[in-house]
Amino acid sequence: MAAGVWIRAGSAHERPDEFGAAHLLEHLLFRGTTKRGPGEMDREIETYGGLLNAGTTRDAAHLYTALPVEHVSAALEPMADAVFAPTLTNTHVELERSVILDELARWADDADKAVSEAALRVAWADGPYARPVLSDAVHIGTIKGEAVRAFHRRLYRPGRVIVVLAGEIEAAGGHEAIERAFGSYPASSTNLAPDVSRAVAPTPVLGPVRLAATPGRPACEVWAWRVARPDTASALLVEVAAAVLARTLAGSASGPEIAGLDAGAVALADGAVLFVRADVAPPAKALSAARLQAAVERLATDGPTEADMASARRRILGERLFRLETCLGLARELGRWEVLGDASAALNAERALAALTPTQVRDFIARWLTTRPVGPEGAKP
Amino acid sequence: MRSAIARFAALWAVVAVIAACPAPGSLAEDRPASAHAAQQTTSEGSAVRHVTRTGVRVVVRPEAGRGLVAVVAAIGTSDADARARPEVKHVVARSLFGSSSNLSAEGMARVIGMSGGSLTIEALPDCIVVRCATTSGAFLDAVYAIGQALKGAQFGADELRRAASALASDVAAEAGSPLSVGAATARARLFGDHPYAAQVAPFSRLAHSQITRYHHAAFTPKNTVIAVVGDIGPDAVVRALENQLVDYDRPQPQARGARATGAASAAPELPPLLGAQSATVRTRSHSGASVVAIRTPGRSDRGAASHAVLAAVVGGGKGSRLFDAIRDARGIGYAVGAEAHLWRDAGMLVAYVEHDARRHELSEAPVSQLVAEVMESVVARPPTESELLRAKRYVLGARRRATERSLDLAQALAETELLEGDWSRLETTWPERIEAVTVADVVRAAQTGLRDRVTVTPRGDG
Repeated sequence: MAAGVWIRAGSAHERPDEFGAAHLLEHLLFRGTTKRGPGEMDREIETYGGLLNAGTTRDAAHLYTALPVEHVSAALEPMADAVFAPTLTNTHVELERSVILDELARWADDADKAVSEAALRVAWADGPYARPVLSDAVHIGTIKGEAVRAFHRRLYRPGRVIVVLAGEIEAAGGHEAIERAFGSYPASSTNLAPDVSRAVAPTPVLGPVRLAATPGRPACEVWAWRVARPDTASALLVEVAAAVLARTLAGSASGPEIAGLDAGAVALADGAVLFVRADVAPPAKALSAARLQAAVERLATDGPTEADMASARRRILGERLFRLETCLGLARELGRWEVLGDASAALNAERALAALTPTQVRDFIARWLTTRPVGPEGAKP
Repeated sequence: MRSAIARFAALWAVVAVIAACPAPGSLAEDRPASAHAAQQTTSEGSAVRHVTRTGVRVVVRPEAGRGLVAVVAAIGTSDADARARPEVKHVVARSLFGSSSNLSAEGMARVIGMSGGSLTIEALPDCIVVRCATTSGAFLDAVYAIGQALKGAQFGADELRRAASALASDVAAEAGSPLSVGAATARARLFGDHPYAAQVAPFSRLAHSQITRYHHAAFTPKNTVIAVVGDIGPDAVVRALENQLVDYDRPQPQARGARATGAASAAPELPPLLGAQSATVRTRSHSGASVVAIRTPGRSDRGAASHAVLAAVVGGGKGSRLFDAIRDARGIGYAVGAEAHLWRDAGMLVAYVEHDARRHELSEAPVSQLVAEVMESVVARPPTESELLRAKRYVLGARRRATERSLDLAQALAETELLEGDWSRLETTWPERIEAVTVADVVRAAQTGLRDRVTVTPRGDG
């Protein structure tokens, strides 16, 4: 079974002197606590047959492990210890600073990550979501240990923590195990609601941002829209709109086939980004603003066809079935949606997807995917 | 992310995603399902093993659930690999699901679409693996598509051109991964002219005859295992496969060097090891790496389990020596670890650290030396009992996690049946072998392997 601990303390919560702190802190959680030396909790959980890992997003940090059910209770205690009682010494800050600089080099080679990062950067140019989770070499090279400790004091509070268990465990037994591990930490008054809040207004399509070619991959362009995250009743609307737009662009009779065409969405606690990417590989045709505009206008006027909707549902359901097949995948999906607003959306997605109508998708596209393009200068990525 | 699991099997990787998403459909249901008598069906535990009339081995593991079914076909390629250039195998894998003797390329695409789920093909050191995730309702369509590819793939000119182009892109992408480049270089040094060393060289064109010769040599019933895991009963699986594969009766080619009595396979001998070697290679990446590799015994060999535990002691998990000495103590590297890749006749244990290409290279102790020292430390300072216990639990936990998905479990069952002759070894023999490994076994494995270690330093050009 799987256990996940989410803390609403992502890179979007960082103050200017804390850029990079959310992710650096996530690394430091395993460097020892007031009860355990460095590496001790890893050895503990690996001896149970588990593997402890962690990640950071713009909205949260999370620790997770998958291990035999009989050890879940024993694994939750060190996870709680890591979250609430890390030592965060300056020596460890220096060592993890070095590790993250190596991680940044790895990111620089990741072409897929570059696409979603470009979309977020251009769509949220004026907000905290624009900054990459890892920050950059300049900020990582200079961030102070005290800034990381301050970030921890401010945000690693029980009221901001979500614990998820998924697998063969009774709810009562699960609650008891969580209470035993986390119950001794005093409650805080911190509100559970997402707190990066700002109103999101429709924007024109932004971009294209040109990404250079990488080994084996041609250069590509990314177009993006900043959109509001729909309420949980229609949480899949952004994903459906992206899938429908990709299909419409690919099947458009108004031009030749475009290489490497795809569309996707990134959901955030306070909004979402919908993006389109296409290769720029002469002599193949690049995606033009006019063609993008024609596809969006057609969808905003006529809405998707039943075939478009069926294709989008298959794509999204297929990806969901893959993600949810393992306990760890299910736990991650539940935690992610709880951070976004409501874990039940993860469980109700199939029903919600089936209930979505072409009219809802049309109206969503008409409201959010306005098409007056803004060039690279206007976008200032 | 705190750390990434580095996958760097070079071109032994996923080669194509042909279709995605479950779809309702029942094209194959309209075809008559002949009721062949089951051949050699045996049950063990929750799985059923069956051998079809033409000799295809089938393993079925029913798992009632949400209507998902995983179908994996593993086709042994050892003999064919010994006679063909490495790129032939990869092009065959990439163009397997084009036109067939009964279907146009468009028809095949339609059937694949109706079978739903996902369909991927991987070229691995010992075999080509077809992985299909489908639904119980579309199972017959999936089996029909797979049967067509096994029996009668045609490899049309357009399909071969697309496959060659995709292969060239993948080769170029690999050149940007220091860990892939490091592992491939180490494999080439450890395995010489053996097919396990195979690296795809630039090529202008492949003759259609090379492709079909390889397909006919490898894709035979005796070389084929199909494993099915999911929401479907053994009877339905056996009936469908007997029906679809009734004319999959290509004879087994005479194995090179095999006696007339006909061993199923006689792979080429492994070349002698050449002592410790080192190499520095350039990669088109921001990251660089340090890779230390040793040759290991094959997966059925007694020593395979010792090497799996050795890999875990050295670099399996964050409680390992490599993680402790390199990353925790020195702050070097993001992807840090060790893995034992166990193939049929041999394997390779790889310890690695990936780091910023511009950093760590000028330090007094190069990272590759640190990695080697960690491996050597197993001999100088044998694992404690608690360290050994952690390593064993890590190996077994990793196997459990790696087969949690029905598609991965089906692949593991198919490969175990194909390469070890008995699918049940996956779940019974392997845990027993791991539990039986002693400290002395681990030390011996390290001592032996390190004599002929290969150290590779892929240097990113930033």
